[in-house]
Amino acid sequence: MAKYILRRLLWMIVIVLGTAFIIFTILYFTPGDPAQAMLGGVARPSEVANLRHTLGLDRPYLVQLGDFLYKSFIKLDFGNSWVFGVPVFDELMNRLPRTLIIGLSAMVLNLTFGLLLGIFAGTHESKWQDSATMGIAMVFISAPDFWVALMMIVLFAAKLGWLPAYGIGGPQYYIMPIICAALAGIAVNARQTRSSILEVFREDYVTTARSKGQAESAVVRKHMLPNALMPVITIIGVGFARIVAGAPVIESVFSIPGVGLYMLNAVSARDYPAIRGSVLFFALFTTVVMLIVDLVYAFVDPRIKAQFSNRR
Amino acid sequence: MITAESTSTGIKPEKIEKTSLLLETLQRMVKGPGARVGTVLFALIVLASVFAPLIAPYGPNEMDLKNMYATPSASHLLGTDGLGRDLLSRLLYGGRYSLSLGLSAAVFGAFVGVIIGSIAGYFGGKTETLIMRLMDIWSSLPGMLLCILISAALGAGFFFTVLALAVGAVPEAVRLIRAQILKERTKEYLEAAEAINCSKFSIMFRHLLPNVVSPILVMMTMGIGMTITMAAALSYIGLGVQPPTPEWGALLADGRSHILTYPHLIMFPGLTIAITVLAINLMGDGLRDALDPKLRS
Amino acid sequence: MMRNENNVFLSVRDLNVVYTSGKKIVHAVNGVSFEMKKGETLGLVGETGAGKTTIAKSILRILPDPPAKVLGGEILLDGTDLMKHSEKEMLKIRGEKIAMIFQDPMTALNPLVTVGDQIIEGLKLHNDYGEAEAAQKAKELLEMVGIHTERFKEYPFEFSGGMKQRVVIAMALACEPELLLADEPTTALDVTIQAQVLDLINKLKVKYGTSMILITHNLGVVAQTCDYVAVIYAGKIIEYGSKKDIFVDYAHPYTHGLFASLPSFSKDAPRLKPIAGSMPDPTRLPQGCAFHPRCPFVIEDCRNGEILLKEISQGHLCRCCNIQQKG
Repeated sequence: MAKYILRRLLWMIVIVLGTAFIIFTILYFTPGDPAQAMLGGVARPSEVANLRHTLGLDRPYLVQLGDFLYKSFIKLDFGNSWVFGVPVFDELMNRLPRTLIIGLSAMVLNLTFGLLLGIFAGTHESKWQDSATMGIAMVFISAPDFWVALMMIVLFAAKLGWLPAYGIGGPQYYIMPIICAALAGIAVNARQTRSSILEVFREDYVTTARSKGQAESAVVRKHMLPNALMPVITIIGVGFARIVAGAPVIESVFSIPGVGLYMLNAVSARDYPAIRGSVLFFALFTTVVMLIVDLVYAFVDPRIKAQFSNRR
Repeated sequence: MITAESTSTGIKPEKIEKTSLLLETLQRMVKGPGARVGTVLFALIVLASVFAPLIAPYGPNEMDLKNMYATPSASHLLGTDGLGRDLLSRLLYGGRYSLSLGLSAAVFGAFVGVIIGSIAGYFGGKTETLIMRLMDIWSSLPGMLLCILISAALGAGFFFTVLALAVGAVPEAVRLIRAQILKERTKEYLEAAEAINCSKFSIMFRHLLPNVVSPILVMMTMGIGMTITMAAALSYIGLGVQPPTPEWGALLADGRSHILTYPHLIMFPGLTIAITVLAINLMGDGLRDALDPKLRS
Repeated sequence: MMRNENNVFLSVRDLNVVYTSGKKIVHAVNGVSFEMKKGETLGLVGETGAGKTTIAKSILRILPDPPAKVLGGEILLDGTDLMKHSEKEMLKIRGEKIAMIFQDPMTALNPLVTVGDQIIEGLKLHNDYGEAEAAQKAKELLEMVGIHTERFKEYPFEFSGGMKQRVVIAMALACEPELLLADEPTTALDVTIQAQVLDLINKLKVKYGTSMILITHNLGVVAQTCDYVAVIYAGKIIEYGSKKDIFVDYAHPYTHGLFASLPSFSKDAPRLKPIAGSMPDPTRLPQGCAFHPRCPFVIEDCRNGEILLKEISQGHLCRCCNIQQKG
């Protein structure tokens, strides 16, 4: 088991390194000269050349790549933002908590409401509770999350004045962002959990349990749920990836100064160090979550656990 | 004992009608109420966009400077924006961009994903491992993030936006196809094809793929909804297609600054996206049920 | 009804079950009645879709409520009508008085729970055992069905098909039920394992004095294990009798067809002799005798009216207007 964990950890490092390589290369080959862009059209060629040298842009590809990888991973130095001059790493650390609060809270909502609604719909198959829940889920999967966010701002901030529309401050500033980030995920989870439950309903071992005289509620609890929740573990991992992917847009709508908005601004300003830093941050996050999902499976599913235990 | 010559009246085997699989699938698809609504709605939206020049009351960039920020009225059914442009017309024309972006990206992404996934699934071994590892790296940046990066790197424009959107969709497609192929790979008809000396590529494309086509179709259909939303999100944050293109997401971006004063500018474009994606998802659900062999009577 | 003896342990009277699927109604069980004495083994024989499993599940009342619906009938176990029991009362019957073995051992066990725990579940539901006592009893059961007690903590995926079926048998017999419903217990197994499992079932049956209803489409299995046989066709019993009655003196044309289709091992046979045609669509059963469209001995009376089960000799009944008694 320990060997498996170690292998997965190593693989995780490889993935992040690979992503770093890819993002660096994409930026390297992006058309347009960042130095030129920063100085504007009127700059003289010598000024541009000077800036390129200062930023280290005139070095060969491999040298730049090596330098970047070394600095980022060994020294945890992502360089200074080309726009503001502040160390990217510090900026990321500042902004990290806000993105994390939204991301993790949305995950919790995804998990609890998604599972509960899915179980609710699944155990009332074909009755109105099922159709109603799935109908609402369908609506929330279809509506773009940033539009829902905008509509919520119109309703709760403008018309009702209950919640603030922008920025950060106390907990009330996070309520709408978290809900908007979670909505689509809750809907997806609910649908998946429901299918999972319905599939499990028809399984033979459920009939076996009933034939032993087990009461229905215990059959659901001991036999159906654990089996139904297995595939849901993956969905949760994927759901997290979706939340991460949605962070830039949600933070943009609500003007939350988190890592997502930082990345967006960096992209518009062509601030390479900032782009690289924030992208790596997201990649690391996603990869860690995937690792956790894999490990959870290894612990929870006896079929996978057996591959690593010393029993046989 | 019964003698060999049976004098029973017997039951004659029923004549099996040969309908085309496509027609049969379509018929089954529109049985459920949800799927029916979705298909009709989607067809209407597509038709409306295609025939926009005939239906739209105004041109997409026609400015009516005496009527800026107008709320819905008889002359402008959905109101106007900051430059007096009719919102309904912009939505109709915008549909052409949003829908074609979504469709092209979904198809392209699915296509690439199917090829890569088939190679991985069929050849197995080191090839499969290598490809799946690459997919792991590819998906370390989930959907939208990757789109943002590639769109920023490639620049604006229709084709580049399609590319950016498609790239985000590939790893999931690959995983799905590979999983399906893993299921089918052990079945005997493939062994039989090998036994009569079919080339590996022939087996892959003529025997294996048709049997895994159903989940691909469903995934692609649902994928269109996702790509439309992502295209809108890209336009909203300023990437993707550029103004004055009336892509639905761009319309949302336009209305953003006046959200508190003129909410109709946000409401209608967003509603259009939501309804379109809803229709597509309903269609996709219906398609999935129609293709599910377990539900066939 | 069938035999004029007292000491009736199980009595099924006029059981009627349908399945509703959309607008279609599948007539699965159409007026089935039979009786069993304590300790005897009744074989329910018939093709797939004849209604045998539905009968068994009805006795335990574990039919899925939509889409199945029991339209009528009584099931008397030692005098009490199970159909009138509340769900709570049925919980006490299932697993304790009546137990069931299912057809496919590969899917009958919960993949996430150890084999030992699954046996313990049944034990603790009907007895006041503590954890240790239940575990001990479960290990004894495993041993009884020929599985090493060290495998107590293993998961189902670590067992082969035959071993899984043994676990299922251990689970079923855990609380020493009076009636065992065995639904094609060997169909999914290799022939050699089949013999072992049947042997095991027979031994345990004798040891505990359990009555058994054995559902199968395999006449060989019937010959090995059953005292009495009921041949089911389209949801009705069309012939009933002792093993000798059915194997030697069979009367119904369908039963004729069943035995005729068995290839002889002593003679060469250029072709197999199946019964012409196929089972009727259960949503549209024919008028009169359900078998008449395929019957080589069909006469006018077969097409109309209800054909009743008639006693053709002591304890041997047949539902036919044109009985073709062999011998």
